[in-house]
Amino acid sequence: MKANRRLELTMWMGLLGAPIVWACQHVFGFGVTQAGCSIGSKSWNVPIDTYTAIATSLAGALAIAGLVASVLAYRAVRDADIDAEPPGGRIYFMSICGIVISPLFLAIILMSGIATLILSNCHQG
Amino acid sequence: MSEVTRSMEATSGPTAARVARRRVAMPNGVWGVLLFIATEAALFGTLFATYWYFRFNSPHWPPQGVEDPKVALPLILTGILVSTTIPVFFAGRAARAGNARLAWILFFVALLIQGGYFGVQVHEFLSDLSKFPPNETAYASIYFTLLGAHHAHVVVGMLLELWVLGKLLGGITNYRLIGVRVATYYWYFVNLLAIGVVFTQIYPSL
Repeated sequence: MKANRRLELTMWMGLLGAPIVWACQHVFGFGVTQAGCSIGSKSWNVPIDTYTAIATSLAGALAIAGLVASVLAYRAVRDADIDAEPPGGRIYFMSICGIVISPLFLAIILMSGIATLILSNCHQG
Repeated sequence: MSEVTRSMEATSGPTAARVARRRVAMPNGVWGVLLFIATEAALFGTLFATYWYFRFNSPHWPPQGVEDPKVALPLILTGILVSTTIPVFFAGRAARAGNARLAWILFFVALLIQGGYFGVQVHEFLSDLSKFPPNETAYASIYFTLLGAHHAHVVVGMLLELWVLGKLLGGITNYRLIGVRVATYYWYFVNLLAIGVVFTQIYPSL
């Protein structure tokens, strides 16, 4: 019973980890850009690139951790199938979803962070 | 041999209804549509955020030269769309009770109303396009993106219902019952979105 609960927790971490981390990185990045580029707060000299590099590295690592959690959950129930009784069937299905979406969110996190680092700050286009 | 019918063996109305009543965990099909709805909610979240971001960065909203949006017609149309929650809800209940015929009729009624709604909305959309094209202002750009995305979701919901209607002709099985649940959940989401979209659409006139 306890092992099942731990497995379910791993599955949810794998499924929701990368999307939640991306959402946090997105909102944080928006806030940092606003603070660094808005007229009212420009004098604060917010180091946009430093904050972005830290946030991207952290978010990327957590998204990879989400992927690992999904793979672990999948490996634990790999003998089940999609129509198996719960929780086996559910963990099987959701862990596959986690394995599919985590790399996609990792790509979004990296593209968003790297683009901010490469392009000049506070300019459009 | 167990006397409990397994979900895979529920291939008739009464057995599928019995399995559905006994089910304690959500089937994977329902988890799948909930995940899908979560991604759609994120998409519309970004569209709403974009609209309000533009709004708060513009001195005139809508921009000069663009007339304020209509209020009455969009509200009435949304009311009509949201009212289809009732037949969709009862169609789901009828299907769970093993009554494929009643479920089919209710889905068909809902589909007819949604079709009428969609027809009028397309006419309004094209009429607005001729008045303020999306490539001219940020307002027009987000206005048409938001409305177009919602109309696309209405079409997806109608196609889902059409698929369910086709399947229900062959009676109810466990899988079809899950399909009905998926279609009803999706419609609840589309109708909820419609309320958010219409109030964002008519906001400049309020």
